[in-house]
Amino acid sequence: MGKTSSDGKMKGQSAFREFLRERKPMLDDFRHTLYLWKKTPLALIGTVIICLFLLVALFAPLLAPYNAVATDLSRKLQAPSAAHPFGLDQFGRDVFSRVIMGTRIEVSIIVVISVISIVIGLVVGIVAGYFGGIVDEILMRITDIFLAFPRLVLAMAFAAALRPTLTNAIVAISLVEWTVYARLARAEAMKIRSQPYIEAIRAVGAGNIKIMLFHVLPMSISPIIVQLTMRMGTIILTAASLGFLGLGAQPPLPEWGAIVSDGRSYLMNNWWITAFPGMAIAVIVLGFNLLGDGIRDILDPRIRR
Amino acid sequence: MELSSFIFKRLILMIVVIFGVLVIVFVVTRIIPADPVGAILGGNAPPAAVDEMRHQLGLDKPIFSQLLDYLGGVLHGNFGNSLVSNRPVITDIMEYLPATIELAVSSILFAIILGTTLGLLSAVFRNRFIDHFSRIFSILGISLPGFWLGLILILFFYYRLGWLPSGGQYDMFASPTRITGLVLLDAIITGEWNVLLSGITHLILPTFILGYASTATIARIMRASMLDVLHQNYIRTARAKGLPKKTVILRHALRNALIPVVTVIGLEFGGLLSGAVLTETIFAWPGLGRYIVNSLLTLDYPAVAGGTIFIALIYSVVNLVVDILYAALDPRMRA
Repeated sequence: MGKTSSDGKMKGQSAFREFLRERKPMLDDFRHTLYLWKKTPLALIGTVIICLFLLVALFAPLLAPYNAVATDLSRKLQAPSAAHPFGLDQFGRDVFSRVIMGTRIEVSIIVVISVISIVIGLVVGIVAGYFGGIVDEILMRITDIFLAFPRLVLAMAFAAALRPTLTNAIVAISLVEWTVYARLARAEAMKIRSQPYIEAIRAVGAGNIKIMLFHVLPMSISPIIVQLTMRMGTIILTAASLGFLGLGAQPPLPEWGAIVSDGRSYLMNNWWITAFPGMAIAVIVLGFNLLGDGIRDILDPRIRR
Repeated sequence: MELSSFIFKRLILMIVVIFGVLVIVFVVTRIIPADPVGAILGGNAPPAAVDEMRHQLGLDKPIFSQLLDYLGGVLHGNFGNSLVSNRPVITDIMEYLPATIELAVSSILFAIILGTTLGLLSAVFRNRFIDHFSRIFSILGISLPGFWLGLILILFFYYRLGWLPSGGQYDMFASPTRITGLVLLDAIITGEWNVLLSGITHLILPTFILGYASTATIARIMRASMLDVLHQNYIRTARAKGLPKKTVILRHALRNALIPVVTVIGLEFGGLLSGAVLTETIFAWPGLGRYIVNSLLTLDYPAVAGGTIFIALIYSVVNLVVDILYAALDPRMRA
């Protein structure tokens, strides 16, 4: 009995070794990436900040000690204390709870803007790069027109025209963000279009849409994802700026930029309403920037070794 | 391609883009807003007054002829009248523009001087204290929200310490003579030294807030570019033939390292115009950015249109100049 079981174990081990040997290049690659990751401690810090941020957003209702929107004027403007680490605002709301609940708003802002702007950018960029010629010329001139505005100014104009709400601010920022991905996707599509295998696929009878969807699109995704991690900090800053200017999330929504703006009139004596939500923005943006920097360092072969 | 034909091609493209800018601004300020007349007259105006106003604004015409009217007006420098100040929008813009120019110029100068210095020191003393300091300073510069940092600095330097003013362009008691509209320049021309001093103290915090992010970007590019150049063979040759380190760094390396920095400085100017909107709002700075924000919040669409077009124009011209400069420096970019 014992013998067979140890035989089985041996067999299992050797099969496992075989499995490992087959995948050695992949594992080495993974190990190498992990090694580079560890060599860039700042990227590691960024990753930790973002993971914590996502966890807080996930468990926000459990973590927030008080209701983030219910007002209690009898306790307004209390300074930070053990019970209320970030103090109370002008409506007696716990600032700490508002910041915690705000993480959910910030996460949804990042996710929705990323998805919308990447989809628009990919469609415009791939169509322009794949077809080239007059189609490319028209689509790229349209992209240029959007790039002719300072980003925040155009986003402000869109947000105000659509009436300032959180949803409209998200739409407005997406309408400004897509140009980044359109240019990237176009460059990738132009590179891929001239590859011999695309010619082969076409000879077999694949149509343009099929080629773009199944062959150009998957190849252009990875540079776009890299770019996205570097843009996320800016996306949060833009959304918070719109909130701060009163052109984004409206009270009583606990969007961080809007809370900073709320506290502005109470800055002199009640600094905590402004200070803490702003610090939250700073930490998250810092996290994304550290991660983006780390990824860029890892991908840049000049810094690699 | 010859430089002159490159410039010609870029100018043609710019005209196309500006036309597109006008169309987008038209759509944003005239078509998307659900009820521009309601914004002017208030929600419960009598229907007759609403019709009258729609006719006055040309809103009862077909959209295409509205667009033509609008484009025709803009080409003649006519952006319509502001609904708030009741003056021509162009008059308003000319009044607010100098303050923005003053702030933007002082911020970009601050960013260039501090950014290149930090970047240079960072590269030369790689992994030493100054490098670490400069990298932390830089990553904070692109991460801290300017509008928040501005408020925190006001809290410290105005409310707590009382060293610097909280906002505005000069003290209330000062009454500067307006010549160019640039407060500092006017004060120097007229010899109003108290205005000059007051103007400078009012400029410190806004300049830092607006210039900080650009300082950070310039320092990062400067560091990377300088490190790149310092590893080139010709630098080793220069050192090998016995030139002192200082000469090599300042005469050989710095010149070549500055090329990418010049481009970034141009690009940063656009970011500066975005940042000006926030900085001017926080520091009650009477510039174009604050004008646009106030117009957006009061639904003053003609003012929004005029201000936005103007900012986009400045931005496009700056970008064009950067492209031409870059093409002049590096012929490979003329393709």
